[in-house]
Amino acid sequence: MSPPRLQCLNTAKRMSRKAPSLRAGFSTSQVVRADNGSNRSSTSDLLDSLGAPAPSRPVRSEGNNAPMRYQNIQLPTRQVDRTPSTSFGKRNLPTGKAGATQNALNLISKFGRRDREASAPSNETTEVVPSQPDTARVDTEAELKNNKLAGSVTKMITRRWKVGDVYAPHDMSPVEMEKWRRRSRPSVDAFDVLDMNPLDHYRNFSIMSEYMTEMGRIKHSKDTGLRPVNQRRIARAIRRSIGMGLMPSVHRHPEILQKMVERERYGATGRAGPSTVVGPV
Amino acid sequence: MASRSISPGGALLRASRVFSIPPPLPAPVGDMSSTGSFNSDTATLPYPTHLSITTPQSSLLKGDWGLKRPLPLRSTTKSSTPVMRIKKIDTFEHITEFGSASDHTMSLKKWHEMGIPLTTPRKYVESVIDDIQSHRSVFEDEIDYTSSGGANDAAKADTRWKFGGPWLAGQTNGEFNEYMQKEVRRRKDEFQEFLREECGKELKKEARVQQRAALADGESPEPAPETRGDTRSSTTRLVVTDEQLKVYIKSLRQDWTELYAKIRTFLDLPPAPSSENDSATVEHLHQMFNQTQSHSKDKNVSMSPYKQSGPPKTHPSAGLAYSRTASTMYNHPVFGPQATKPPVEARVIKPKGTGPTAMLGVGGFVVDTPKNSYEFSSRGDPRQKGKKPRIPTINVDLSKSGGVKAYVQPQSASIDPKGRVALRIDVADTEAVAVKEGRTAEISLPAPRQSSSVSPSGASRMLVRDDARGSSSGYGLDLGKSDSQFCLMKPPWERGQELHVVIPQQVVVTLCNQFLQF
Repeated sequence: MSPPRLQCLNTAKRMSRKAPSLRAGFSTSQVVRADNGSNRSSTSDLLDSLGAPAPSRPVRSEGNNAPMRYQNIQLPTRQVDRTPSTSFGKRNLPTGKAGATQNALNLISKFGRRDREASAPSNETTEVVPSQPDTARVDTEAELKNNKLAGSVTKMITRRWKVGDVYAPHDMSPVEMEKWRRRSRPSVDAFDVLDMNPLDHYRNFSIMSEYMTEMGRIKHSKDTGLRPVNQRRIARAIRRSIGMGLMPSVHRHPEILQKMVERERYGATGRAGPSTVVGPV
Repeated sequence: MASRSISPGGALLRASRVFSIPPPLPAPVGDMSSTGSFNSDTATLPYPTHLSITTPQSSLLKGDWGLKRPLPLRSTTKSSTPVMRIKKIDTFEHITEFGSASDHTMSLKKWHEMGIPLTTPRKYVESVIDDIQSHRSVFEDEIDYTSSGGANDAAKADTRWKFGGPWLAGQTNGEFNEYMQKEVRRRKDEFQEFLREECGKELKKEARVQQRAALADGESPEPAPETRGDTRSSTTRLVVTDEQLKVYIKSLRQDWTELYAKIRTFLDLPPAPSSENDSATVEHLHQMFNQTQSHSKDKNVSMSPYKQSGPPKTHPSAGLAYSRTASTMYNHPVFGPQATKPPVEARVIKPKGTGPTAMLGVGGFVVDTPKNSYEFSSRGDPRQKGKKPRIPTINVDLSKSGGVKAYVQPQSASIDPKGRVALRIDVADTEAVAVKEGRTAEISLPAPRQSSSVSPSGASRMLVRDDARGSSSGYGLDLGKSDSQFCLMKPPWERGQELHVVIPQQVVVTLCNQFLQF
């Protein structure tokens, strides 16, 4: 029984290998077609093989090298990974007009190119010599590569969606995702909202550290978002704290540094790491 | 003030579209944090703030939107949904600021297609009864009104959704202090007057009780010495002396719940959140120690459905849908009445690789994955070890156009006080999906004899097909036509293509019953 995810990944791999030429095939622009003219024949071959209604063996062998590699293997996974490819070819390629599809293809081609550049020699050897014992290794390699590709595309979703958000197509565009990548300055004065006086909390190095840089400098009000009165108060509180020796002046407080290290090591889930246990020395 | 006569031009202006566009709602506030948050100024807002306007096709081609100047044709005529929001009718640069409003317009359209009714918000701690209570429609007569309904109807005044005062439980310290200083402080004298009135009512009640007691004793009724005027008519205002008011205020200070009720009435505050569990515990303690107060239950525990979440900003339906219930039967043109509504295709808008959980987008609204199923969990069903989940939600699936999609069944929705839509979904029924996708031939496969071999917990079966024909596709399944022959219980690698269909036993049994009937 084959896991469905692997099917998809294999298809993605095949797509990524052929992506630049595929993109040219979709494009209505004559310039792009002319640029990639040499690739077009292979693209149409691949399209034919993908979209063939009955993927019989002769058609497969006419197609490209990727499916050929799996010819001799009688494993269920090998058989199955044709299924999504036909559906993909049927469904996706004619409707390539959508902007989202075009974006996705652009991404695929971008990562595919990068991957090919990175592992060009090894790829060549595996494709030229499709020997029987190598296939398993190749397959795992391909899976890993596809996983990596899918993971890196996933990382491009920078927006942290929340329940109740409303989205339209443009919310998924690269322009929007680029905007969600950056952190904006706070729009409200935190101390006003909480009705706190910063000067009362000069001993709370956790609060003070939020308004300092890594190197111990007091942050500007354009970064803190405080109103002038509160900005002067927090600056005074920080100076007071440093002057009393409660906080280092050139770095963050050691306990906060330790928290940061823990978070890095054990993830942001707030699980207690072993370093929180302070044993007797 | 006498009404000013309007010139003909002025009358025309007032009747024009320009004046019929309401001022925009305040934009939703983002997350408050000391370090700033991630946001985008051009992202679709969780609720529309501007009116969407449209224009007939003939006027659209002329750029005539009923505004001061025509809108540019190049940017308005290309869209398939020419709906605009006017940000500013006229600016200093003599430009009408506008933008496309197709996002919310289409979301509304999709919502209508899904036909999801809006309910009151769900409670956090739920017993079975509470669960039913929380699924009340927002259009129910007991909770859908704004007027206080007079002072005598306290219950009605309590369960309405609109109040004059703020929801104190949802305020920050700073906001509360500002409210106290700006609103409450200047109404001090007014509150004294209010208390004086309340004191009069209280005294009148006392006098009536005394009269009744005197009548019962057989004495002649005499009016209470403190109150002057006609005691029979309730509209007469009683004159309360300062001494009486002082005593009354002292008594109120002892009885905090009564004082809170008075303050709530005066400031028109929404009910405070309170948990039934706490009051039940108190009740239980009273009974345990056999106190006499056990019958005097706290009257301030509100019956409002919005007491936990806070009152909504708009009408609790937010104008999304006007139906009271989703209990309508879907009538399929071929198969007749269906048990479930047609499922809706959801997209995995946030794969698990980007954050703690995966999230789905249903009709333009972001929802959590259904928690009562392993369908969307990244590890798959623990009962079926080794089998990967059917819907991959960890990463973006590059092989599928538009990403991974799956069918879900929307149940109900509510609007939270911030104006965001909380949609509740369920996993779609297998049969309903088959009907929707038009592959009922596959789902009605198992013959009555073979159904006995299905394991009780519902098993994954392999339906192997002889001829390979890629026709319709969904979930990566490739499904054939009616002439294809299926047979069960054969290893997939011995046949051509394979299908994975999870058939629960109930489905099999119902299908068998249907077979026998026909």
